[in-house]
Amino acid sequence: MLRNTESKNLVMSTQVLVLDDNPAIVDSIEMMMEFEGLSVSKFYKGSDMLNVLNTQSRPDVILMDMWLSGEDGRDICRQIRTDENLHDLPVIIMSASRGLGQTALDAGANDFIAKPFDMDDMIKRIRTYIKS
Amino acid sequence: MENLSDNSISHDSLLTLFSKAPVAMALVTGDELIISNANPQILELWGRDASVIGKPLFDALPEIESQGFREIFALVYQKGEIFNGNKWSVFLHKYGNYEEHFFNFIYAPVYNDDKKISGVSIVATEVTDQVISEQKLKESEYRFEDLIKQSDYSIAIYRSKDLYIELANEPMLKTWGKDSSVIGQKLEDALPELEGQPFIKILKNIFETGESYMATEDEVFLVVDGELQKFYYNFSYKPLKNSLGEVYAIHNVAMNVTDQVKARKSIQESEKKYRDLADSMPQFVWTCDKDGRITYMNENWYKYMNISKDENANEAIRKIIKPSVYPHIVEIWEQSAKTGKPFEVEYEFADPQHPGVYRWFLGRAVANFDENGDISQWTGTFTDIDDFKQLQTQKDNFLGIASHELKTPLTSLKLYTQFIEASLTRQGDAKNGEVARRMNNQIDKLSELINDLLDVTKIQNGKIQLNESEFNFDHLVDEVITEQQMTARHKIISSQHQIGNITADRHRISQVMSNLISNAIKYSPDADEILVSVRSEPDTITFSVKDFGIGIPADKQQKVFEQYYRVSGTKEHTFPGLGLGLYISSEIIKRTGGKIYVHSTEGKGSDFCFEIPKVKI
Repeated sequence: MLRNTESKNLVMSTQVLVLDDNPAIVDSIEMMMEFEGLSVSKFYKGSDMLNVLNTQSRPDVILMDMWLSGEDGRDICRQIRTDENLHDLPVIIMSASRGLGQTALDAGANDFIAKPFDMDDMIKRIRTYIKS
Repeated sequence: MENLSDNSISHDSLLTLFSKAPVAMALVTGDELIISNANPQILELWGRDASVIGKPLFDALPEIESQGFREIFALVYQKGEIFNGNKWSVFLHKYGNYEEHFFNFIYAPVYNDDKKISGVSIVATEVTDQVISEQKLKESEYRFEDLIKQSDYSIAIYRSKDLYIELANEPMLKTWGKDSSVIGQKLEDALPELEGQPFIKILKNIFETGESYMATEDEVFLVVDGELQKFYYNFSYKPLKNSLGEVYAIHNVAMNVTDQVKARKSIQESEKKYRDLADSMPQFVWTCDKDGRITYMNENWYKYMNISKDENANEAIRKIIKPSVYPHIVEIWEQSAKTGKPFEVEYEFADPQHPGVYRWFLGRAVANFDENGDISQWTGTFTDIDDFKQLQTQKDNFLGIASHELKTPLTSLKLYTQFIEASLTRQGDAKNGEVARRMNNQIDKLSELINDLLDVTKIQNGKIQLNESEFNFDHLVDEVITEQQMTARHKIISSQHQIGNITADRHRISQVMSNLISNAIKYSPDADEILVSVRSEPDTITFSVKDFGIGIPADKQQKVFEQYYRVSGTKEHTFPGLGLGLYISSEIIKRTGGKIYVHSTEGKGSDFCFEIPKVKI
């Protein structure tokens, strides 16, 4: 609950929303994003993220993992695409399963990035969706 | 006559005796041998009537004069000798026929009162029928003996209960390994080795029962060439019976079938040996004719299929093949049946012991050819590879999961490292920033190794997918070279090229290029440069990487594209790697519709090339 409350506050000014079930990945991405001057909101569960997205203002881009401990990032992506408020929200799916890139795009993701990735490459892609 | 008179026997009585006696008699007198008396019996013998009485003998029977009778009569009449003719052959004109007759006769001199020979008495009995039947009998005996002697079969006759060898033809003597001296001996004396064998008893028994005895492929032990040997015979003992139905001898016919029996036994033994071999194998072994009809299946296969030998094996197999793959299997089989090339395919059979369960099998068959080079039959096996398949799946799953799991910490590790590099660089600590950059490079290498493991798993599962797109080939070549050059000590020299756009999986093609260049660097530790060249043909592009390194022996050049193949020899352990790179590259190129190959000279270097179509067909 505490995390949700934090998230709510952060979402207000967030540019990048990061969703991964692995805290170390979320943490390292956050470090890099902030280093690059981007504001980040962190989520570890897809359902938590969707709750927040439905009640709060939108980020510029979502960066999320494909396998989320019982949730499939592609399903979450499809839900976003069918939501009348969120359907045009940029989504980048990342995964260590390189071969599944096409399935991510098929699920409606704007981009796919294979783990492990180069931060410069990631930042470059993220920035194409940052509004200001 | 005087003597007769002396004994007071009347002349008439004598004449009566003479004419009524049941033997043929005549009396010839004088030098001309006048027939002075001839009873009806002798007239009958001669085939003449009473008109011959009073005529000289040789006028009455002119045909006998030249048959030696003149000489015989001369002997009796002139010298007084009695002549006995026994089964004498005489040709007579009788009732219009000139025929041979046989007689027993006695010619005796007849004396007159002066004790001088006055004539010759003739007493004769016709024995023609007897002689002819004797002759016929003899001829038939000769013929029989001849038949026996000429026969290819071994024949012998044993007479009386003591089994005297009355007759044994050459083949029989040969069979026994004896000479003709055994004829006349008792069988048990001639062949003492028969003691303890059942034959003597059987033979003697026939004298009691009067019944024939037949045997087929019976074992007989005989001393031949001084050695007790085992033979096989087909033989018969048949009783020979007299007119009273009593057995007086046994007719033995035998045929040596030792060679045939041995040959058959040897075939049977050999067949049994291979049958046992096939039955004891855990694999399922079978044969079928050229049209695919099952002709043999080993025990284990019947057991697995849970069918009896009377059931239709082809039908039983068809029933247990997984229905979804059946048409595919039939197609592969028909291809093999047409070409005679080995059949090899992995497929699933239902497990009759566990309904609903399928097990993986490796089916293999090779054609056997006849002397004309035509397919005579197929010999095949089904090997249960279900456990192996499961292990393989487990291994692949494990590798897939493991590599995925390994990448997760690697992802954050890489990000942290890059963060350190960026921070240090921003702080102006270029030296430590460079260290962090190198750390990042090593993380990339680790990542590549993990990707290789994952790729192999995908290749084996047939899951590797090519994501094709149109891209500029020249740019890709430059990109890969630049990237490789960053970590290479060698100078990578590239030829000029102007290929333009092609359609393929950019990422996978770059993976192959990187693999060929990094191999070239790895295996040429003493060289300074690597030559990369790109050539354009109308429909294809050839990319090649030439090094001046250790090279590959001719016999190993094809093996380098196999999974887990590593450079062999003393330097083997000095080169790093999992032995997967060229295997993955070769699979990628194959799936792209191209080919990969190497020209190499041991000690001089290698030239690895791949050739891909510009547009995938």
